[in-house]
Amino acid sequence: MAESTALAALLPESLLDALRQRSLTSPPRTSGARHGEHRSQRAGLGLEFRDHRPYAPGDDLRRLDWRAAARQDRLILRQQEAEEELTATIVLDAGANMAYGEGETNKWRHATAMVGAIAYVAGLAHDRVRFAIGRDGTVDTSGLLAAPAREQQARLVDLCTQPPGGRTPWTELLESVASSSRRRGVTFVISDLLDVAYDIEQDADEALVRLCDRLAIFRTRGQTVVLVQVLHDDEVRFRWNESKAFRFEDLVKRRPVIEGVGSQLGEGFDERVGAYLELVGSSATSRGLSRLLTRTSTPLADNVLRVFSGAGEFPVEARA
Amino acid sequence: MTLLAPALLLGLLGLGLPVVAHLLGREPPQVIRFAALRFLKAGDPVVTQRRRVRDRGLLAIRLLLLALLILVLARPSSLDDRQLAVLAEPHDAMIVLDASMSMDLRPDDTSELARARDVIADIVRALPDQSRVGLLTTDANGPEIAPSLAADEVMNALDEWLSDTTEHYGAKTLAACLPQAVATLESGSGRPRVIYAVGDRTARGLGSLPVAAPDDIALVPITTGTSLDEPAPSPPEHVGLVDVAWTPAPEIDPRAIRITATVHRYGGDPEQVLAVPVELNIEGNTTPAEVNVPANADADVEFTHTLLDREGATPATLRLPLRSDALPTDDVRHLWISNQDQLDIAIVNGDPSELRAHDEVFFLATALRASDQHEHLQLRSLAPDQLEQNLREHGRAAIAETDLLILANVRAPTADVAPILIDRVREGMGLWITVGDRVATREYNENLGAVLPLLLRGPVYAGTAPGRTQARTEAFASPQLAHPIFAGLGGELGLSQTQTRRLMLLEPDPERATSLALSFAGGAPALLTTSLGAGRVGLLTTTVDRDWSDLPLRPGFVPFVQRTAAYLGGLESAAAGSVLTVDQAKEFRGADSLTVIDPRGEAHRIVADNDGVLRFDATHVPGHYRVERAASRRDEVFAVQVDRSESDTSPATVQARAPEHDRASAPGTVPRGQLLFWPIALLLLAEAVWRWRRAIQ
Repeated sequence: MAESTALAALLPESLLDALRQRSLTSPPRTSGARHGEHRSQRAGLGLEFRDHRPYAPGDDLRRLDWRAAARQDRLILRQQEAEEELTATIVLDAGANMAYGEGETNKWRHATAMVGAIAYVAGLAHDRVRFAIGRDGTVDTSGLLAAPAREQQARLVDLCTQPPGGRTPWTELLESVASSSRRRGVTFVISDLLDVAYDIEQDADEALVRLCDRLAIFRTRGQTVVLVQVLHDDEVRFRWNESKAFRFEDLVKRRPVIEGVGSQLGEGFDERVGAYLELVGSSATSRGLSRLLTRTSTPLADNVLRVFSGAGEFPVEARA
Repeated sequence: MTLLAPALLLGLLGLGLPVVAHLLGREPPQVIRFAALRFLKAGDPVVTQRRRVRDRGLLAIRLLLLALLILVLARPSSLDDRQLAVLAEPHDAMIVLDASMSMDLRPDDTSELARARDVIADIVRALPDQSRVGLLTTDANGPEIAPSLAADEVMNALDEWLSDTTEHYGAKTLAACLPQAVATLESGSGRPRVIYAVGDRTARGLGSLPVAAPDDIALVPITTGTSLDEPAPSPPEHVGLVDVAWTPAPEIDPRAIRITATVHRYGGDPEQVLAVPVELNIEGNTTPAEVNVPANADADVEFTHTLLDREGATPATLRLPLRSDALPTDDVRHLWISNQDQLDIAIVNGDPSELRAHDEVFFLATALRASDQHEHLQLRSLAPDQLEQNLREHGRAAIAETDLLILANVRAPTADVAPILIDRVREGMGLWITVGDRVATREYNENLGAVLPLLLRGPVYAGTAPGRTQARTEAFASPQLAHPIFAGLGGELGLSQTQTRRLMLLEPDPERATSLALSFAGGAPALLTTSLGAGRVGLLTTTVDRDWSDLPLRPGFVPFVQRTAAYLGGLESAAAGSVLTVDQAKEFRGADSLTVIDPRGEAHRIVADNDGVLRFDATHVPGHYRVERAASRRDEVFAVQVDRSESDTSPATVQARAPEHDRASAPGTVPRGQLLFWPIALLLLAEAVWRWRRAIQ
């Protein structure tokens, strides 16, 4: 399979077989523009019987159920499940924050594997994949343009193999996706969501709430929004509680350097992070957003499969 | 220029530490590139490694400042013209240091005692090789070092003692220490022996020394200031509380007392009167006052205070709250006050007479009322029949409140009441028996023999001898100053001219523990005392009126009666009469053991010796002392004060002179540390200016 060959750069080979059994989402029904493998909200040209309805002028005569018409002595139209295409939109945070972690615990490694898996599963189902990536203060919207699937995947692999860096312009990133997202589908937002403020003057918690507000608009357009939060264990539990001095530098280089004794700097860290993660969860839930919290200490394959299995703190499927 | 403490220069090595620490810096902090930076708690900034000196000028100033301070601690000094008369050949030396209170005088920032320490250091340093040196101070608690070759021991012991004691009082005079110093210097060594007496020129210091020491020992007086060949400089002015006393003030309130403090000003401008603040503190309540004191004169300041109705004595402290006094040690005095400190004296007049010359009560009452402490005395007289009737009716309660019962020429109490008297004496009542024509020896011996110091033999006419019928008179001999009644008596009592025509002879009895206080010139006892239980008994072997003697006409009669009554009545254990000077011993009777609580709160348990006397001599510290005994008849307290003579810093004539022969001189050293104060001040100023300039940049 040509698709698997390109995306194999992002995914372990062993994961490909497992992903073949996955689909992007289960009901509710989608509303796509082209024919695909997902049940549509509309009755359509699929193979599976759905219902009968009386004939109305203008209906396709090919869909008349002659047997039913003979029984009921009137024209009955056979309705079948429409199998429509699903658009998977990936919003990827490629800011410098995502570079944290060594080896298999690297956040970027996990995030790009998830992106690759989504694209792979979408390709298997002939679904359309769109993506936008925020990095170095700019948004790469090349993935939002219509392109052949193979070309789209190659572009995705190319962008995902570049290292993360700089600031992620969340406002521009979401605007670019929103302006081209008018059909129903699934939007995956993959990030650590630790610092989504535009600058250090803006309150980070407030910025997160605004981000959720913007994503909630996606839902009104029929999008299922899945927040995939990728965190390293160090970002949840402070591990430098020592009496020696540490100098903490912002990966994004926006916040000033903090220097001090480890045990003092980490005072209340776990509690503050815990409160923030609760804020993320509550903000997402209250707006009908799905939220999946992953830790890079979990094996990569498990984290990737959780994107499709709905495991985690919240189901992948939206609970509108 | 030399250094008295050169070892402290090792501290200069420490100057390199700040520089090295500055350059090497601390371990660089571990750098963590982190995403969740905003969840960290930013604390105080941590000084990290600096490998470059940023402000060389400021560093140089501070290092120089540090170096100068170390130099000051090393006590730089230089040799001056002061010549110490130190024997040139190897000898045995004993240094005697004047540790009296006047040595606490501070003409400037340095006390005379600290100067004396430097003088002693000069002497030790100037001694020829193979000289042995020892140390003695006039303070009983000071170091005593026998002469040896280890001169360091002298300085170490001296420095340790000086660091342990901040105030000095109760010391002996230098002259009083001479015998001990002479005894310490062995005579068999064949080497010259020298006593170096170091002190000030006061009467208790060098002024107390004789012209020369005995036993061919050279006595070298050395002052802490100018040479003895030069006129004595005027000591700095200071004031001291030299006396405190109190009396009841019933005209104000039955519970009121009047406290008088005497302030003396030593030296000062004769043209100016100095206003001195005085504070009275009673149980935390401070009452301020002020008194104007002329130069070299006393001035009294009076306080009145109303005590609460309560048992026992109250501690009071008088203080001169002066910020700077050249001799602060004598600026405080302690005393006990009480509104229940009355001595109840009952005089039984056995031979009342309308003629005063033949009335014992008249003479006794007149003498007692002339006492300084007459306000504390409550006198009453009664007839023998009244006493016996009261005792029969009320028993012991009839004399339960009586502190002293005087049987003045009284016929012997009958056998039924005498045991009551004896029991009361055992409980603590004083009994004074004066004889006369009414005293029948047999009845007295039978009924009161248990309390008499000695049994009575019978009256005789003085000077009566076999074959001679002409009566003569007998005079009193000098009083026994060792007896507590006459302890501290200065000079003649005034009884030596007394003519006693008749006296009571006593039966010698070595089994009886008696104390002879006064005797006749012929050797017959005149006044004997003894103790029975907690009480004391006195026996005067002649009359206190003019029947047998002209004793009441003599000038010494008043103090004689007052002292005897105070002793027998136990007035010295009450608040008014309970003042000792530092290191004066206090004696108690009437118990096997008791506990004395000193001003620091430390308890001293003392036990009676073979004579039944409990002696407490740990009165080193001025202040309030309290006595606890199992069965105390009253609240026993006493205060310890500094002798006022210790406050006197005026120079006295020094008779002692260093011998001229075989004398070598050693230069003394003068501290020069003060010369460094100006550079230090300038550097501090420069440092401040530097920092100010950096701040405005």
